Amino acid sequence: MENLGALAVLLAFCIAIYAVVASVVGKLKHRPYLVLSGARSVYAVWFLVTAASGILVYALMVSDFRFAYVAGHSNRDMPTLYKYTAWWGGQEGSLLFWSWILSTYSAVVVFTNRHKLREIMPYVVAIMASVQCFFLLLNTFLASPFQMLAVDKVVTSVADGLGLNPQLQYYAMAIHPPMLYLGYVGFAVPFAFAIASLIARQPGDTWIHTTRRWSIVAWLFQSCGIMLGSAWAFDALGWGGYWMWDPVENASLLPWLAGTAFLHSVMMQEKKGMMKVWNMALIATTFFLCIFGTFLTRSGVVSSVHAFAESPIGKYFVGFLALGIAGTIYLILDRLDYLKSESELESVVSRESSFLFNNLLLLASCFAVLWGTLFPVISEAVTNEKISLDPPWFNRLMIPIGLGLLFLTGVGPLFAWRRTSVESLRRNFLIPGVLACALAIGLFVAGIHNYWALTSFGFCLFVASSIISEFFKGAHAIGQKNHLNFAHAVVELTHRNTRRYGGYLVHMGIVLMFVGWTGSAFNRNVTAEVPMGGSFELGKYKMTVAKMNQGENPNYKWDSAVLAVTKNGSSIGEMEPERRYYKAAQQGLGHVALRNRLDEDLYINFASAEAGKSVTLQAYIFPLVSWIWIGTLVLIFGTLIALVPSKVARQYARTQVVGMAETAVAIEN
Amino acid sequence: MPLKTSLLAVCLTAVAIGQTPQIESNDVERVGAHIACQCGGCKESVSCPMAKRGCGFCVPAKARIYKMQAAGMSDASIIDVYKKEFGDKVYLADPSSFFWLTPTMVIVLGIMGIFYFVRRSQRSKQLVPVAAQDPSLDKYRDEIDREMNKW
Repeated sequence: MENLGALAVLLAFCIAIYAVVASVVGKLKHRPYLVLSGARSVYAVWFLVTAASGILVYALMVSDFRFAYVAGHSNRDMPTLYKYTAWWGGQEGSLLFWSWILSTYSAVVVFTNRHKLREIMPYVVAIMASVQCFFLLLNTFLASPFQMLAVDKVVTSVADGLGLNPQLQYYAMAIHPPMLYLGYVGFAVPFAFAIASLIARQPGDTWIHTTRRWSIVAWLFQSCGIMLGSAWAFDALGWGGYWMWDPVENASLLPWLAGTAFLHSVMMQEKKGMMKVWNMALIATTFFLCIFGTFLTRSGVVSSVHAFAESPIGKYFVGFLALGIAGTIYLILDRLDYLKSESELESVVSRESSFLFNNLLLLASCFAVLWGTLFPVISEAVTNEKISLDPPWFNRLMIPIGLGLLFLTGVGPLFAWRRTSVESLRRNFLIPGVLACALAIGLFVAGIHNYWALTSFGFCLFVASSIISEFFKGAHAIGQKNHLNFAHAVVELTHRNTRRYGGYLVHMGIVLMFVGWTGSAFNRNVTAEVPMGGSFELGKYKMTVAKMNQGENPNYKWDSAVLAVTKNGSSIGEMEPERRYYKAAQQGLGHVALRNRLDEDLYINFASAEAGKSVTLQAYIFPLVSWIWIGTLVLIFGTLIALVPSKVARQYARTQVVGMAETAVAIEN
Repeated sequence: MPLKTSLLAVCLTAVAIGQTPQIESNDVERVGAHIACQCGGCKESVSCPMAKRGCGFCVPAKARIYKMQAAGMSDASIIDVYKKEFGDKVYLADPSSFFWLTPTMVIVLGIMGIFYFVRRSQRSKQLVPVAAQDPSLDKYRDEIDREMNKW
């Protein structure tokens, strides 16, 4: 069986190479059957990678410890769900998982476009197959999940495996990596179409229209992946936070930021025929940051509690990145004539400019995160001195940029395309501006003197009120015209332009997340060693150790403390933080007790126990943190709305071509 | 006797609670951020997430920093103790101003770039002749109209 798995990966690698060669040669030599065979090869690659993945998953399920991968990442007593998730729990398996997702995406792309885009599809197939070749190369020769345990060249087995890393034995981790990978790999599709259109000298809007949904879906998956990771860190790691600016967390944020800039910038090309070079550069940046993130996680360049073990595959990633970036730059420079802008910017105070500033801040934050991630490595190489770059440093850099982005989220939709008059500015900004100032002053009077928090809450209200007013004005007009009640009018309005109003909902989700992040300015915590029957306090809460429990199951042993919790003297029930000791991995892990409320979360971690005498507990109060998760749900809902086809078909007439007509106003504004 | 024992237990408990070390305080974090973890499994400071999950170096280091602070030692002298014990490799410096300057410069250059881009667009728009007013193009325009009328 192991030979079948290895053979399937090797064959898939060979067929992926054939897909590249057949597609390119077939296109250049005008051999349609060769092109067709190249496209069909994509299905064969999918079949083979699926077969190889199936064999690995089967080995994990039946605990076949002859496989080195299974012995290293699974054990007999692990629940079935975690045996399955061990597929992506280690280096080799996760690379195979990546290959499988890419092959699935490639097959879907080829199938859905089998009768369309004949000029660029061979190049799309070639590019996607090239990326596939790279990952299959790693799986075939450098990180094979089908290596067997052997003594003197005789395959052997061990009695039990080491088990999956206990940190990964958590329900969110069953979903988080697939979501993140679906996002990472998903950006390969718009990238392939963009480069294919450059090669075919068709860099118009076709690739953008074709891949719009792909881009949004990839972005959605990545958003979900990042937030699930955040929720996992909050719930499972026991260090009382959801974002640590860890290099691996940063690696997932980088392509998300670039992808977000792309999703905004692409609207300029659709509506105005502008920013064509920029959009090419952005989608390429997003894709290469996805690859870079994978490289960071696996190369050992930076240290992280999340990273895979150091391995020699890093240099192959560097080679792949260098080759890809050089090729992309060459293509863009060579095809500049095809990427000329069709219209010009007229004013700094316009929707177009707000998109530019939005792109600037998103890319600046992307750069700042990248800079912060690599700075310790660069600094040590230059000065030979290690530096400390803990979360407070990142926060000082990122908070102003984040607030700038939040402000633009509210300002952008209030600007008109082309130019905005002073009267229009006054009319649109008056109510949100007054509300934001009133809130900031009110909070200051109420005793909140943290200026970043005041600014953030003010901006949140500014953006929220501007979004609500957009819905209100639109729904009011439609309701009056068609005699609909307000709720029906809102649905009708959204359905008429799902992309625009879905986008507003996404912005609203971001606002809610900012409310939650701002709450972290008021976090409090205490660590206490408490004897049986003893108590300790944090803010309005008092925790008393009522009981200590111990237990064991086949996977782990555990200690827990039953705490009677009161708030302002009134009982709010019991909480039971736990500490587990995983037998196979020989590793301890806290299992926090959490009380979620909209105003604040009470979070208690069981740090250690001393033989039934006392426990060391860490208690945290996280104000407003629930709004981060609520905001995430709103963001997902808004993105799904944006994916629904609009009731009214949109056509974007270009507003102006240099030296030609003066006013061909966009049909839709 | 049981009463005395109970009283003693209550007193000891009260003392224990009163002396609970606040090893997660900002003061400990501030100094700990400059001490590199020596567990061998990571390249973090003692403020790394692992510190709260039983790291063999970080947890004792934090308790020790707390005790040294309680004894009135300054940040620099605490770091010197670690340097003497583990060598200079244990010290993590603050990032240089280059860390701040570079992203700030990127933003400033970006804003300047946007203003330049807008001004250049406005200038080129003023300089480009309006094609519709060029009479030499009329014959081509007529030709286009004739061709279009066929459809």
